[in-house]
Amino acid sequence: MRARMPDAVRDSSADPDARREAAEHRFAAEQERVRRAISVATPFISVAIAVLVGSLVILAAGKDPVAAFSAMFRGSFGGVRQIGETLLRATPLVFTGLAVAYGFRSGLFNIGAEGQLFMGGMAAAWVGVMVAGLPWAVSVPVILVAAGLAGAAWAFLPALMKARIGAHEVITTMMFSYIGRYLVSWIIAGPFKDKGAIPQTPMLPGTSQLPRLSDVFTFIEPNRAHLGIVLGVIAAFVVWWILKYTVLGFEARAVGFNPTAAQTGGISVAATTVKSLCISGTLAGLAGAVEVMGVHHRLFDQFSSGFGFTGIAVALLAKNNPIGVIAAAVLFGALSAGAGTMQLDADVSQKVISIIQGVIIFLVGAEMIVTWAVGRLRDRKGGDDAAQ
Amino acid sequence: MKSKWSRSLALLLALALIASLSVGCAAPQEPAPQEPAEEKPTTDVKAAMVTDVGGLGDKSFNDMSYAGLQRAESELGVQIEVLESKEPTDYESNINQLANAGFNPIFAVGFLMTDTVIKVAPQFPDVNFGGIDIFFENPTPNVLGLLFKEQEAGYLAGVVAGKLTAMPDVDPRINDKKVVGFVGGMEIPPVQKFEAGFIAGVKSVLPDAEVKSVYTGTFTDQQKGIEAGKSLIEGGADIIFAAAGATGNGTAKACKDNKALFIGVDADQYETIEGIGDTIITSAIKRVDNAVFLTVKDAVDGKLKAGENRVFGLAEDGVGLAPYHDWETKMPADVKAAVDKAIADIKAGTVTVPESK
Amino acid sequence: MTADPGPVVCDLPETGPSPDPVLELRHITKRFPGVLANDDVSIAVAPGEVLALLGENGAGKSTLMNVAYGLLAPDAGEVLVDGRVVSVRAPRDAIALGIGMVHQHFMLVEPLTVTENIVLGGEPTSAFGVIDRDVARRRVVELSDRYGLKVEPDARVRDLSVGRQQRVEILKALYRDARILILDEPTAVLTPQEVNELFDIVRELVSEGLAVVIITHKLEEVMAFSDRIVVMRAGRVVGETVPSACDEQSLARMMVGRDVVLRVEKSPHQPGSPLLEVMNLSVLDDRKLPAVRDVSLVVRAGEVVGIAGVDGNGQRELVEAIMGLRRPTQGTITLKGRDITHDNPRRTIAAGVSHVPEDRHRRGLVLDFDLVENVALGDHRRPPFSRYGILDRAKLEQEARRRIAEYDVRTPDEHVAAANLSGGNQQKLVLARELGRDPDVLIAAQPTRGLDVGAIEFVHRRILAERDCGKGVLLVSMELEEVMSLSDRILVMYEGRVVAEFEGGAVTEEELGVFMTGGGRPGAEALGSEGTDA
Repeated sequence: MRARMPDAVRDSSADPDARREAAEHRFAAEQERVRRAISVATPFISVAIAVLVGSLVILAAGKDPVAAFSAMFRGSFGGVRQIGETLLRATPLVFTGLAVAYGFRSGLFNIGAEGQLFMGGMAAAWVGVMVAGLPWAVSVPVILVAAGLAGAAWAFLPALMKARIGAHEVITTMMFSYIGRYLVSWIIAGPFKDKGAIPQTPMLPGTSQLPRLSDVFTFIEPNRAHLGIVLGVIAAFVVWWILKYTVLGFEARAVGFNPTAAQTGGISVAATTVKSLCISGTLAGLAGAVEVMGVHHRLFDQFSSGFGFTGIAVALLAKNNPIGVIAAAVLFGALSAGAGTMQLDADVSQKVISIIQGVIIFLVGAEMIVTWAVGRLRDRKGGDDAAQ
Repeated sequence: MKSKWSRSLALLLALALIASLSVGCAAPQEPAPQEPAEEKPTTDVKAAMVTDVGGLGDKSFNDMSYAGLQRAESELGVQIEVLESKEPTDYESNINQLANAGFNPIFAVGFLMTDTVIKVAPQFPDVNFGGIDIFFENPTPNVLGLLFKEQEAGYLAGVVAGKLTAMPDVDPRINDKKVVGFVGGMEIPPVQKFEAGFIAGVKSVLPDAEVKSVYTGTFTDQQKGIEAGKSLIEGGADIIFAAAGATGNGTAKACKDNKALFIGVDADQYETIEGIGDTIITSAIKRVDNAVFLTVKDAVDGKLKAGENRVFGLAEDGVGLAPYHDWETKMPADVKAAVDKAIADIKAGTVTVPESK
Repeated sequence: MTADPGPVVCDLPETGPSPDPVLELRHITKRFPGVLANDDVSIAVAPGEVLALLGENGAGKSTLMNVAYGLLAPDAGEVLVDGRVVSVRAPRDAIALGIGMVHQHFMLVEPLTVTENIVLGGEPTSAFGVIDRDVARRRVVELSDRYGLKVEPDARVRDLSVGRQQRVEILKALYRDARILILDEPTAVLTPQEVNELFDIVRELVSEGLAVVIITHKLEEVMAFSDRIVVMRAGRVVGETVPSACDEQSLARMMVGRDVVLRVEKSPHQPGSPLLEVMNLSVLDDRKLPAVRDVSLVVRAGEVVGIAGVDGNGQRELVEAIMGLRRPTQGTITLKGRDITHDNPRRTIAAGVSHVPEDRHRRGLVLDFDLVENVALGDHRRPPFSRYGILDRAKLEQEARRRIAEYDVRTPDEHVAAANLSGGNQQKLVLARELGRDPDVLIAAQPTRGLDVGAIEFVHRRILAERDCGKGVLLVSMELEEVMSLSDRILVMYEGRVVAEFEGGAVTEEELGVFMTGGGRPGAEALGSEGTDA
């Protein structure tokens, strides 16, 4: 029981105001904290649920989930060679993840990163052969620039259509994705086909390739990870810096959050849209380039297993945070790298990995379920507190 | 309160659904553990294969190679393993893992793995690598190209098509224009050989027939197969032979929808194209399973000879014609006889089918 | 807890609890994460009584009524109807007990007719819950006649004005035999005329024995038509009184917790040279129909020009055209003699025009940005905030802290998202950005919409401060009182035209109201009717 003050006293005192303001601040801080906590927690929850579902599937098949996942872990992180495999697979996903994340941050859904990746790969394969004879330090940057420009060019027209006539980028980038893929199919089977029967471009000269890390740093045990992963990490930090510290990134985020307010604040939504989608395309183009320069050293029709689309899942899992993209890409890379070991050592079909990836994609796509579940838990807890 | 419960329930159901779906998908893929019924002949040969990105379930080379391995397992007691590739990056690591795990021989399925096999083989000089549909220009001593005389299978398909297109009374779908069609995927040697053999086969039984060819440039896009099929049918073709992978499935659909007849490729497509029924007459098949089985058998017998390209033809039971299925009864004896004669002639060497047009 | 009868807090001795309350809330406590929305609140309302629940935004009024209506479960306390403790777990329980609530945002199905909306979701036990249109329609007509709630039973809801839609909501509650009607901020969306009509309806309802609870923060309304007033602040009841025993000043003090100046004093009008000149401007709206027709106006240094008008008469398009957000079809806009007609928003801002948008959530702020970035918006391309395209975060934060302090934005720190601020603080943040830029002209559209008394006072003071240091202010507001108290000159917009101009202080609210609705002196009338034919 609270003692009651005379009302006149309470009215004239500043007490309720101070209390209210303090409460408001607490509330705001709490909101912020909860928002951040949820934002950080959901990807982990998604992955945990996916692993759980995977375990159930393994159990249902009469196998041992612990053995399976430890084999998977050995296959992806168990040694230098395995880590190399993981990084190798993470490399293109870092770039496509960044591409999609940058788009999302500017309010754009670049669903056509795959086509931009193909154009970047094409440019890399072509320019890479053209610059044969130049020293490595010249040819590699030239190829990367060309591939980035090719990716940007492939995003430019959809961007222009969005800015000028409001054509939705989900439709246009997707259309351009198909056009790009078919164009590349035709080029590698026709004008730029290597000698021999197989439709593929000629092998890149050594000076146009991204060397393996173990070739550059000879103290590292031989493995297949190549310089592309280093470029990917650099790209992630550059994207992070652009978003946080440049006018370009500031305007992109403002348009992404609230185009109307951005426009009112003097930002050209159309120009920002074009710039953002081109940056996204550049990153996707680089994904194609590193895959061509670091892994296959040439381009053929199936050189991408849908990295542009997996990039969407990577970006969502990373909450569109550029640094988070690295982690999410490594996770996807590890799942794919460890699948074979899991099957060989634990006799669990590598399809389980596809299931886990599928569940992750499903969960991050339908993230509101997780957000909602977390919110419910929090509510229940809050209710209990109050009841005591 | 009710709504909260129902939402929790919905979430639970959704998760259960995911789980059950994934079990449902995964279970059939899991190779059924084969209980050794009787005492099997034992051998310490361990054979394995790496699929291309098509993976198991492609009802084509990957599945057929696996069938060959499974036959080797049950008949020869060989331990087998298959690693599927989801992306081209997997080729090298999958082959590496199998080689490190002691498998020998290892089959790489599909010409897409050519680079990889050439690159990896020297690292494992004691392991033999079989490349399905891979032609090695300068084979190292431990690689073996497993190739097929597609032209011979195409020739047989051509004989059937050439005969039937001149018999409008046999089936209402056959017209009197004496035009047959060919749909190719990419213009690569195996497909070109099918085409050359097909044309030769048609002309051998109906010299004034016209064979119209279309290349779609893809093995995956069904829509293009439909379009190619439609345009050939509009051009008068009543029988179409498609050597175009999944693209050919689209052509089969175009045939079914537009009242034309279809000849499949690689595998017995009567079994692999859902609901195709009597639209399909037969298929020109590559017995990849036989090639794989024979290679493993050689390994078990200790007489596997690598360092070359082996070509499997009719004589080696490496190519052939699939059963007629729904057409079995209505197929005129005349046609069947012509096919039998062609087979005999090829095997005897009296007919040599050209590899190119 | 319930052993204590809970004496109702009284500010003035002559009032007390109603004799036989039909609805009573006892010791309600409701906690949200980090904030106590209701702290041991008790109120009661009797049949035939209008109870005004007065308080600033966030004082806990809506929370309390949502508890009564079953939308929120209290952490402690109980609800009594007719003196019996009842369990209200969901709105349908409340409806069954005779409690009806009209929310600030109407819950109507727009494509359906009035009758269909009223019948929709009626109690499932009701005989014609299924469909008996004639009976339903008859009953709707009967109810609307009885309480003077004129509606067209067969009109589609989407074709009705906001005031009419509100009537449909009230009828919906009456149709379900509500004896207690809760109205949440009912006048927020109404024109002055509609407000008066609403009050007539409420009077009619209480004379028929209903109990009405009105949630509001508008003092004049409370004084005009409530029988009893309960004042809430920071989640608690801080006073209870009757209109005859208090005045707006004392209510405001109770509500805010300190003395409030309701009408800001202003110094005499000393207009200088013209700053913003609009000549023969015509603008289309989003549907490509003429919204602004041949408008000319001048804003001089040191004056506030107010634009009065009913919402949707071209004010928004006029403001957007000036800011470069909308392309005019004819006319010119000049700032200090320089033509800015075709400048984009960035150039307009840079030229010295600041803009407090009418919708701070949609236009004014990027709610997901923190305060630093919101303050930066619009200045982010200018040194010292950025150079060569690179932001100087340290400068930005320093500037944000300075302006947050200067404009009294109450916030834990400058790194919280703007979405987490209260409405008043969000508006202060907009002012901090727009005025902190030191513009020549300020365009303020609905600058106090949805704000509480304390924040309104702050905004008004700031606007007059700009005027007093020689800036020009164009004030667009639907609040007549605001226009009248701040403006040195008042223009009335009707159907896209300026139909009248008055010196500040030379016109009454009623006169303005006439022009705002298309009436007025012969000359103005001519303008108005001409406008309608296009």
